[in-house]
Amino acid sequence: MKTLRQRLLDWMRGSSGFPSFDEAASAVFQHQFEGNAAYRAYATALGKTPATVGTWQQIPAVPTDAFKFRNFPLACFPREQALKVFRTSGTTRDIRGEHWMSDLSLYETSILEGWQHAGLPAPVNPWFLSPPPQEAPDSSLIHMFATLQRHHAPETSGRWMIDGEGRLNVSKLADEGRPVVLFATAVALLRCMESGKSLPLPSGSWIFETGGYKGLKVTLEPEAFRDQVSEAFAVPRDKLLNEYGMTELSSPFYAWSSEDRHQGSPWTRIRVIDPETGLECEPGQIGYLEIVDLANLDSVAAIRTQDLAIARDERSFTLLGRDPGALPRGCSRRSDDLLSHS
Amino acid sequence: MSPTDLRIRALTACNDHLEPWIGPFDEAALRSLVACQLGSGDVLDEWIPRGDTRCRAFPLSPLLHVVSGNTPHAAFQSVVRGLLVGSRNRVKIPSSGLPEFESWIGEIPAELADLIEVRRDLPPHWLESAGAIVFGNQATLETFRALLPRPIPLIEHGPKLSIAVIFQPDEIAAGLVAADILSHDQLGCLSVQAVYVDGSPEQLRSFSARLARALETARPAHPRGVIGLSDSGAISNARELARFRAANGENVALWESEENTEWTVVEDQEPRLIPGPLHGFVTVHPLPGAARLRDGLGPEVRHLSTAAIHPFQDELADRLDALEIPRICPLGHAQKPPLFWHHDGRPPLADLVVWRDRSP
Repeated sequence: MKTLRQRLLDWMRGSSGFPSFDEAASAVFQHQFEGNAAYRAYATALGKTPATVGTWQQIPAVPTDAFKFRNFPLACFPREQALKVFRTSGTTRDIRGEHWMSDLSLYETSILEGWQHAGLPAPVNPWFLSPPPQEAPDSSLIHMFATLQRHHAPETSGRWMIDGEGRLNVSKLADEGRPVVLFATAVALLRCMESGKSLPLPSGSWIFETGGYKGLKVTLEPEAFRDQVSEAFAVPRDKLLNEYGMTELSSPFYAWSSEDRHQGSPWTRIRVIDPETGLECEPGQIGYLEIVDLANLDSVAAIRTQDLAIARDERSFTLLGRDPGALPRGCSRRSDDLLSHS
Repeated sequence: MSPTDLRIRALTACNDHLEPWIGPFDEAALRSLVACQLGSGDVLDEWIPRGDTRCRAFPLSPLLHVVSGNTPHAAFQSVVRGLLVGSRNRVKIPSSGLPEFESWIGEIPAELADLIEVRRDLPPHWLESAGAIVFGNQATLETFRALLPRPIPLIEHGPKLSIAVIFQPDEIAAGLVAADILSHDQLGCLSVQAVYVDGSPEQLRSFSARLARALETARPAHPRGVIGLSDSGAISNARELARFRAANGENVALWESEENTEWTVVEDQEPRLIPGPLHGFVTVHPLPGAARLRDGLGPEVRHLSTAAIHPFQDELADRLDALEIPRICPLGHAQKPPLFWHHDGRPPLADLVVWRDRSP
């Protein structure tokens, strides 16, 4: 009999595995309820058990910050069996969230099959505005980049343009004559532009951009930022692809800059929650984004993000980011102030 | 009558408007404040002998006040002090307005009207003031540090938080601390964000439950303003993290309003002080013993503004000395600072003047 992992892999690759998303989701929830003690305790506290959960909407979502609790790892296996530990970004002062994986097959299959499902062009000539994987072994994003390179351009090498010391070197890219795909975080793109090292890419190139805009020294609206990127790299505005992903997830969501929504793979679902009531938002209403990602078999499938969004359908959403109206006001010190390290 | 006496008389005529924000006062109290702060009640108007010299205090004028919109206290107190020393006051209020303050300005006596100008925007020439007092969050402070010309005195009142310390965890304490939490939607630097209970784990649990009932009862009298999605989200997130920890066996318990985020109590046996998401969210902790007090509360201690204690007794206040809190007050009064208080430990009037000497 096939394992649940194998059934999920077959399903993601297009073979029959589950008759419906709900059945797959219920099987994953049961697996996680049984194998993930911390999640089981939380779900039980919410009155959610395999006996009471019948649809994906009923699966309780865990806040991303719960991945920071070292005493209660959100994993279905003991630490010593972790093949990979991905960590959220942060300074040495921050507590970083950890996402353990005992097996990378679902993670990597989700990246590659998700790419196909999104209809994205194969990145046969990739360049990476990031450190190489060996310099950032706990970065899920860089692992994603490396996975795409291995699959689509296995013969390429020396394409990582930031070294272990954080130095940027685009000289080899400057010699490139063929269309490229430039993979980068928003922060890296800005750094590249600010340091005067941005360069016009060959015609036909496009840019994969990801990561939030937190941490930028300047306040920049995403639209204004993309205008700058488009101009600095001579890439048409509609050839900028934004990826929405996070360390706590295995599956990315994509939107070209001309599109108004990020779209996920068939093994994902999204819902938008009104945080005031905890209920699902009405159509068109802004709320907090929750994601159910069945490729997250080893940890928790349902994740509550801290991003605002509007649900478009079961697998797509319009991302709004953080609520600008809720920036800290007044003189009371609050949780947000911790971020400023004041 | 000296100019200072005239201003004091005019301010006292505004008593009905001002008392809710600066506490009870009369002419004698204001004169006493000037005399205590500046060494003499006449020093703003004449040369006063001091040892082998004569000196006189001159107000920083014009004086820029940048006030936040969370509570009107800061605006009233800051401007009254500026008026008391005779500064011309330029008051930048939030773009959304500050109704209680603007209402007072609309009725201000003629003797003071020439000394005060209020705007919702910030004209560039206001940056060329003789001094500035800025209330606000870290971003606001950083903005004004960058905007203001370097040599001018800048008095900053950045983000702070306050606590309650309960030595007698009874029903009365629960009611009083509820008011200190809910007033002004918990958005002020004097708002209580964490409660420390001196007692056994059972007393801590029982007081947390009492506080939850008190918040539920008191909430209708302290309705929240419009709350943003991210504020709701921060409360909801904090609740879920508490629920997660409690479910996993940590010494954490949660009480919460149903179907909304109007009030929340998280009891946490860990004493570490952590700023919360505000809007009716409070944590309850055991009060560490004297030897562990400062370390137990952790690095946020340096941002403390006020501790409201119950009962209010000097020997109990002394037990908190290690925290070096600028102000200790009776429970229920956290958000009602008196006229003479030293905001963030700063002298209320002495910062607003410069001295000139005539020496032999």
